[in-house]
Amino acid sequence: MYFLSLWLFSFLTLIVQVTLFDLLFHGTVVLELTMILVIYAGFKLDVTRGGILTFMIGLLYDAIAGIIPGLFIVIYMLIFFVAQGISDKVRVENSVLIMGFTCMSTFLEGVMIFFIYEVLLDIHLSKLLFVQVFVPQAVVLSILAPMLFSLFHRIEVIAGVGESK
Amino acid sequence: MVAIVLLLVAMVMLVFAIFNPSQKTGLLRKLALESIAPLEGMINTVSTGVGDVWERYIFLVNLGETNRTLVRDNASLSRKINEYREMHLEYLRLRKLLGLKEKTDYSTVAARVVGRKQSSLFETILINKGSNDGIRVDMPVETVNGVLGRVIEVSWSVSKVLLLVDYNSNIDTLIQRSRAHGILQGSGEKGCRLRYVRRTDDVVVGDVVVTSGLAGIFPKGLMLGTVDSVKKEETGLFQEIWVSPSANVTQIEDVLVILGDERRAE
Repeated sequence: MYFLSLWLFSFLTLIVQVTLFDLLFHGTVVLELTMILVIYAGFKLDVTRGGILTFMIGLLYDAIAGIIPGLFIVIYMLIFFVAQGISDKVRVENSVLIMGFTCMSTFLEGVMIFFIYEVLLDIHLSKLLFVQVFVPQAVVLSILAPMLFSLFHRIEVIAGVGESK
Repeated sequence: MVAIVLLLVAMVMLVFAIFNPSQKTGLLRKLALESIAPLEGMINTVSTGVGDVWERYIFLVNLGETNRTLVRDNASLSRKINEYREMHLEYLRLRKLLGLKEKTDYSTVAARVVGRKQSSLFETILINKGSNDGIRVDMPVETVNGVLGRVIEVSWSVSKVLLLVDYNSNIDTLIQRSRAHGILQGSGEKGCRLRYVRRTDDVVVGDVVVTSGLAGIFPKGLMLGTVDSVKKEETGLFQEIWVSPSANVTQIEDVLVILGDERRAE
């Protein structure tokens, strides 16, 4: 039941991400809410539950938007493990930490995508793309992250699963 | 432990996908596509409906002026169509004389876009037709204005299309006027870059770029776009050419998937 609700929730988050934002921004900005959900999983859930949730989100996002199978799963899993490592050492309720980590994770995603394209696939991406795509994404996601964290927490409580960490 | 296993699985998937790109869409990906596409389609239909009502019945500013312009354009286009009809008849007569076979009879399937730009970086769309309708990976997709891209993943009733502006897209092309050869590579929001066109080749701004038919995916002669800018560096073998795609990749509602050349199949 727990994993079914996780699956459903990941699914709904992704739906909001790929449809509603498209309507609002007409394809100019795609806000990766899924990234914030992954960070939330890293900060708040235990390794098994969070890991499975992250895998599910990555798999769904990969299937819907990805071109290279596994790319988003690997990126999200790595972000999840870094978040797990941090959550053991600091107080993760701190909004500044959440914002900072979201910003860093967005840049990490960008660096990994650039690395895979440039080094492994030999496709040269414009350097400007990093500034045009990942910088605005990092800024907006960082601002939204604390609010979404409290939203995810409420949903977790309403769903009756409670905090697992 | 479970999470580490999942990470390893994901890494294996990624490495396998990079070094051995598969033509088949896995079951999990098919299920994900099938489950999300109907919802996306429903939301898109509702939003398009609301947009239509707004544009047709509420937002009527400048309608009179637009109407006058359209009437003028219509008259001009009618004359042009007549000219082209004459030219086409002449072409048919000449072709008959030369004994050339018809090359542009393609069987197509119409599809509706159910999901637009899904990621900040990757330029893909989802369409509401899949393997049940005869669609396969690598089939070309076009709009009334020209080539849009090619199918990269196929599920039973949904397919994912890689747009020609994506960085992963490479299409073998010809400049229609001078027959100069090049590779059209996607460059995201900047449009497309025409690469490997020799310095000595004749290319000017406004030239039409069409598919060459050489790579075996796109039939020959499909409209791709027009040359936006041409730059020749003092050194180097090739020109720097930017192309504006003829298909409007941001506002697509319906597309045609080219299933194959009917005559060739016969």
